[in-house]
Amino acid sequence: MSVAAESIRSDQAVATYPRRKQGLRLSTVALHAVLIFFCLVIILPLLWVVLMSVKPVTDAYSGKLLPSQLDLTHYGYALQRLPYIWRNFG
Amino acid sequence: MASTAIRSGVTYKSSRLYWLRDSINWLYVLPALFFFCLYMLYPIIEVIVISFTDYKFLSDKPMQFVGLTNFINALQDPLVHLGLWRALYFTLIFLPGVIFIPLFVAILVDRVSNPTLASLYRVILLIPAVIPGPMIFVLWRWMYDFEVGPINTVLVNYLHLFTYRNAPQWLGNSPLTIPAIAFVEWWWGLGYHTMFFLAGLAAIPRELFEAARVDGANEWQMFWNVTLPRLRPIFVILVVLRFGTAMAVIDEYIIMGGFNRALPTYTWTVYMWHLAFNIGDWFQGYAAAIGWIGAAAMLIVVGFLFYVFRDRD
Repeated sequence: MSVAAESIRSDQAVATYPRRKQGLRLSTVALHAVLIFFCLVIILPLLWVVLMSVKPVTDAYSGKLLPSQLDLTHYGYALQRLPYIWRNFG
Repeated sequence: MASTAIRSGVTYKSSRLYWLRDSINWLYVLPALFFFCLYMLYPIIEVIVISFTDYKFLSDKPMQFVGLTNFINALQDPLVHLGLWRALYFTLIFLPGVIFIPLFVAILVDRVSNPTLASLYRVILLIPAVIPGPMIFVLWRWMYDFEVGPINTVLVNYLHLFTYRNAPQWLGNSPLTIPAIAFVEWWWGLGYHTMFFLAGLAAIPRELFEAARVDGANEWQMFWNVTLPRLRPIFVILVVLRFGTAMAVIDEYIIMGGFNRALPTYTWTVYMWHLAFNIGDWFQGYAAAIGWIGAAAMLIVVGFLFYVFRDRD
């Protein structure tokens, strides 16, 4: 009796334990997919601003999303025209 | 005060010591009270006084007490009515999204078992909450730009869903304006409100879910019968707070719509600001009356909300 009960228990253990441990379930994938979607909604506008800051002006006004070349002149312009800009970080 | 004394294990024999204890408590409140009076109470009283006068900031005539004239005029002003309806329209679109989207996201983030990923999601969602409002609105004004904004660029140049003949006009005199501004507000507040709900979810004892599971409840039943009732206080606070801020929204309207009376962004707050600081002699008496009418309308709705959400237990 006890042997039979134990074998049943061990069968169950074999049947259930690995299934719970096994990597990605569909619900977990869906959970992360939805969360990554929301994170993208948050990040993409901010990423667009970062890209905008290194775009040549012509790219900015022709509606290109990616800069055709890296252009850091805007940073130089801002630092040169706003000498007090560092105060904002102090 | 008596309960505090008992809790701290000290019993006061004489009423004089009670008085001492009370006065020390007042001392702690004093700094907050000072700034409350200076920044909240004084302007409110000042606005009450101004609203009963014909005060014009740029006029050199002394101000006259005019009784209820400003209020009577403002109540008959069609622009005040229209402005209040426009603000209500924005509020009705904005409010469900700012409550239910963060609730949904909070429930998802709460289920992430990996602690590193869970905090990564929280940090990313909270990024907009640390950016000052006007910068958000300038950013999104460019995002919604008809020609060079990235949204229309993607729709036209990358996905080819529209051409520049029929691409959506997001801002300006278009039915999309108010939903577009509401979306900006959702984007801005997503992480912030998610934190509210995450705190609420963390405060629910795990035993309740375990007990429900033992009783055979499925996930959906647990959500309706355990999670939602426990989040009720947070719901009430958020609905009331966000209703108030949504009705009184002004900076996004001014940044995205300017002072064009034909636009749906010209609400009662913009009208008030426009009158007080931009038109003619700066009719601040009349603007103060409009402010009071708007505030009274909001207070009535907030009172109604508190009545609807009252504790029935």
